[in-house]
Amino acid sequence: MAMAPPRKGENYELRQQLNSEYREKRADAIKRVIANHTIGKDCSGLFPDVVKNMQTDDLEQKKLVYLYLMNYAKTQPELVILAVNTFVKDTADPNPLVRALAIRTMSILRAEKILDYLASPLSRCLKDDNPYVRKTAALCVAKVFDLKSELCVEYGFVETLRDLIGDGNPMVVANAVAALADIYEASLNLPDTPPTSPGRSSPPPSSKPNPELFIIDPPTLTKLLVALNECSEWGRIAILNTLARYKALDEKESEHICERVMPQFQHVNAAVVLGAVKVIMIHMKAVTREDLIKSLTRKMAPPLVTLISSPPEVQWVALRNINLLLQKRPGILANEMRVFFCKYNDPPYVKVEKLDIMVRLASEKNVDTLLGELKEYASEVDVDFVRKAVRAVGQVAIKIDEAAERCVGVLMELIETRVSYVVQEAVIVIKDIFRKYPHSYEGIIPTLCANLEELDEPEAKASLIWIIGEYAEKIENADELLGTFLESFKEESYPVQLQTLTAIVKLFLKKPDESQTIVQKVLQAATKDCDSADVRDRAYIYWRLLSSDPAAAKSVVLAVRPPISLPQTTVAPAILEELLAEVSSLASVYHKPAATFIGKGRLGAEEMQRRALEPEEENAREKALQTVVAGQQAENLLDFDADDEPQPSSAGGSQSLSMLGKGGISSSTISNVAKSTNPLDELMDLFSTASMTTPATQPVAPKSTVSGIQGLQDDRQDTNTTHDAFAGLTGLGSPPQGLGDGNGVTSPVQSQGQGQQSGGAQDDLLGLF
Amino acid sequence: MARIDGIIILDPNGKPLISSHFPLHPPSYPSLHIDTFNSARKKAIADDEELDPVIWVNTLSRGGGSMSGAGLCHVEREGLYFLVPVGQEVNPLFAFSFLDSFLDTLKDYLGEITEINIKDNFDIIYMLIEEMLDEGHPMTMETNMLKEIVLPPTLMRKLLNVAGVSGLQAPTTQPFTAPIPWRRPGVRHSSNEIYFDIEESIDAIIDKRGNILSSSVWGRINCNSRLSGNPDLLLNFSNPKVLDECAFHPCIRYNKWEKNRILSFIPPDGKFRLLEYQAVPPTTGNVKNQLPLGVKANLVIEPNGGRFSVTLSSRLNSRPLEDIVISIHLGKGATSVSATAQGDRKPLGSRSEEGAAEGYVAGGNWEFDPHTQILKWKLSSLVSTERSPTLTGSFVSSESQPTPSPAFETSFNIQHHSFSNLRVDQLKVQGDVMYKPFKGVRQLARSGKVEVRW
Repeated sequence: MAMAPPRKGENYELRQQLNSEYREKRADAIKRVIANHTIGKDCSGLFPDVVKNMQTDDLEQKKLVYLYLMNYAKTQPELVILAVNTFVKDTADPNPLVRALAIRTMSILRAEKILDYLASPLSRCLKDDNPYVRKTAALCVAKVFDLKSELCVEYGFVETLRDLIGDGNPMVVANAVAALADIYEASLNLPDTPPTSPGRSSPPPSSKPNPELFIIDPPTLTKLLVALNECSEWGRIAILNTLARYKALDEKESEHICERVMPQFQHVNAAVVLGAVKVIMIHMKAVTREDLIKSLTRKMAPPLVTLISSPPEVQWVALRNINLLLQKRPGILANEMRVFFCKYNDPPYVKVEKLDIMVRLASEKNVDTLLGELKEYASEVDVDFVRKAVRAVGQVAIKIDEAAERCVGVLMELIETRVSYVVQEAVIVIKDIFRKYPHSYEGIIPTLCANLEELDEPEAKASLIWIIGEYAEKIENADELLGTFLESFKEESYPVQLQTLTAIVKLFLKKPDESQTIVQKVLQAATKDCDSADVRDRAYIYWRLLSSDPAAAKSVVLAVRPPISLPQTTVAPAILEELLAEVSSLASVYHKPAATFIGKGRLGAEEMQRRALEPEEENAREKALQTVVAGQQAENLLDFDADDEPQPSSAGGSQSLSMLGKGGISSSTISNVAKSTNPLDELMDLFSTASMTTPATQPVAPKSTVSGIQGLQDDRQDTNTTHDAFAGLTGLGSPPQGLGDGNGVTSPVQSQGQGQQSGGAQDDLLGLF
Repeated sequence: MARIDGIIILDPNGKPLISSHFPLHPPSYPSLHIDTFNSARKKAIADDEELDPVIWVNTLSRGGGSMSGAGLCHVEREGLYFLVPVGQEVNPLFAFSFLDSFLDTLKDYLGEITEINIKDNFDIIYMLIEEMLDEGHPMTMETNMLKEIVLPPTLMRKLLNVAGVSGLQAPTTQPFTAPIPWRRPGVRHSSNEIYFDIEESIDAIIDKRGNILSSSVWGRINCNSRLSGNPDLLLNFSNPKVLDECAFHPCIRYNKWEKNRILSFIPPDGKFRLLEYQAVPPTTGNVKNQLPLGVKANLVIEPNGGRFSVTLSSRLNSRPLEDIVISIHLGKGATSVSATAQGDRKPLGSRSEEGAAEGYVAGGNWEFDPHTQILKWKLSSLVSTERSPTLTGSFVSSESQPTPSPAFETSFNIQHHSFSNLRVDQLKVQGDVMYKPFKGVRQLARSGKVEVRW
């Protein structure tokens, strides 16, 4: 039994008023119902009473009742049918506003039952005399298609829409284009044949509209290009989106589109400007005429610059997009760097983007201005931004060889400020500069060492230790300096421990006479007192190497490292292409393809990586020959838990070894290594091979393709483990237990040879190569 | 696709005032966005950071259990928050420009966008949203057209409603039949007039030595047209070359501009923005002269405080600079300031006894707000012939290493001046008009973001 409605309370009062005989009382009650709904009160109980008020001459009241219907149709679909008659009547009202309102509300209600009544009024409204009704009806078609695509096919609504592209009113054209685009998108997700009827002999009426309807033919293209200049900004955006999707027949057509779209750069609306940029970026690919490309790139820059004077949120979106465009066409803003100078009160998110763009635009011509500017930023109070500015100085040094010396000068000035975070960041940056220009700026090392006390962050410490180790032969008191780190070895973080270990071994190899004791100490400390498997492993390996074959140790530890360079792009080329196709979209703001964060399910990290690798797949084999373990390692790390490891990389990796390995090291030998009772020689061989080939590797992990890669990218820039010859080992899961156990240094390898453990080791090694 | 999901208006506490309905999404959709926004905002405030303009919202909806998400674009106006969820791959600028014109329309309808105004007129706002958005597609955005179908709240209508009369003033029954989308047919005015406001603002960064590091002049021409019939206008500039990088109102015929550098258009009725431009930087002469205000500044930081001096001068001979404000952020911990402002002219209309309390002397007023740590020095006007006014003083800070901002802001206005020297040559009125309209041009030059480093 249904509960009797309560006789008290606000809803009761409202019900009374809704049924009042006075129209203004009813109108007032409807307003109150809507107000209550706004603040979250449930007014669904009043449904029948509100619907009674639908038939009225007062347009405003009608609108409010319709508004109420839209909100509650979802929860009370069976009641909506009560309103159908009034709806259908209204679609034939003499007032076009009422006609449009009725047709629109019917399609928005999203009730199946209503749809059947909608079809014939809709086809009438699509041909209405009034453009307002036509443009409203055009959008309704997309909504109906979403609910019941068969209906659209049956009544030929899609064809009618297509005809509307030729409508005389530009607003109708724009809406027709928008609706067609929506339908096109929705139709991609429809099954080809309805799943209920698998029989092929008598094809049932397909719910999929004829795909040809979405093909833009030259006459339609002309219509679109004409409408583009006539309709409102919102219509222009819809048309531009469609043009971006269009595949031009030949170069001439691409040129034509570019020329016609170019005036849109002059529109006030930033979204139109960016939409036009997108269309031109896409169709420019097919253009080969030099003068046109030149004029296009020339004209593209100023409107982008204009966006910089907008409010911060628009600025940010624009900057993100500019950042992306510059990766593809670095020339477009070559002379505009000053526009990107940061104001001290810019929001932080804007500043960071500007900084990034400025580094991208850096060239020999403007580097002095840029450095002056970066120096200014380094004196600001926002620690994060200051650090980024200091880092930018380093990036400039690495990017422009001629400016490196000036950059080092700036960094030294910054170190003199003795502001802790500035000094630390500068040390990290200088380490990168040493990597790029070895043996160039040794004069500054004493100054760096003088700041030893100031450093308290692991990364800065590790950087300085790396520098000391690298230039141990030039620094007189290197053993003292490293000794101070050794004293606090146990308390340090692992990266610092690793660097201390490596640096002291380097020192020993360079100046064996003075550092016997210190190297003993560090090896002791690292193997006995350290709880990180990585540190212990490395210490054991060093110890082994040093005690058996110092020459090999030298070639391993003091190997020449590959020079580093600043990546022109921060996203992998394949993803860049995909993003450029989505310039002016959410994807371009996140710098991730749309499918990874929006819509039906996100792509995982694996999919992301697959895309990054895809275009290289064909020549992956040849590449793999040159690619060395470390590089592949970096990428493989990504799919620790991926079932299907990228085939080419693993195959290529082992192939590269078998090609390069002297003395016939192949994958089978590698597995033997683990079993062999005295595998030292092979092991050494193996490692020296790896270390010798390191220069060719240059692991290029696509930066920030997934946030997870971030760590890798850091590895590339920093003196972390990756760059050492042992990158492969340290990066690889947990090593055989025996190595860490109390057997001591004497026979770590022997314990490896035992039973199951050898199996584990074998797997690990194979996994690596 | 060019489509947003809807719009939500929040009050200063993050509670929803108005939310459009989201037919494509489950009922929880708007509240998901509101919750995400509020918690992100709280976090940003706690961390003393600013929120990214687009945040990602995990909406756990559609697509059978697999995760999906949406972007949320938001802006703040007058303490209220306006959110636009974007569930599809859309240009975020699209959402922002929608918000922009939505806010313009609201302002036009309500006068001021305040919480009370929104609450009082929620029915009108709902109707506006319904007209402006059709399942996320912008429908009718031109204020001119909207006014044909949604009547703005006027005092007259309120009175009539109270009196119980309705239907006296009904929306037109033939909307959008006009051949020109931005102009209503049959416009009638008793006096025909058209005004152009040329407003230019200069953005600049000035370094320690007084050199301009970067500067640009942005201009816009706002128009108020009250002309009957369908006037066709031709606007000529005596020096159109200074207009660089124009962004036009759709009414302007682009080809005519490209060919002859003449603005030819049929204007919308009422106020609208005709043109935005960037002025071409002067190729001859000293770039320095572009900024009419000369600033010399010096700052010495000491433990627990510092000393500063700022000297201003005008480089403009023809007109006075007005409403000059120098704002200096003295950094965290700044507690008090003592300073003297010197000059040889009294500020207009300020009484001496009132000024004395705030440190008034002949060189204008200064005041320090310990909450925001901002020191403001205000001068009502400055001409090039007077002795340069100077503000010298010191501040005390509770921090041993005070960190004043590395730059300060200046602002000023100059009436009847143009940085770019843009001049309107003549305005011709053609078309089916039988009257001689009154034409007016006014110029205003002001500072945009002018930052001086020290």
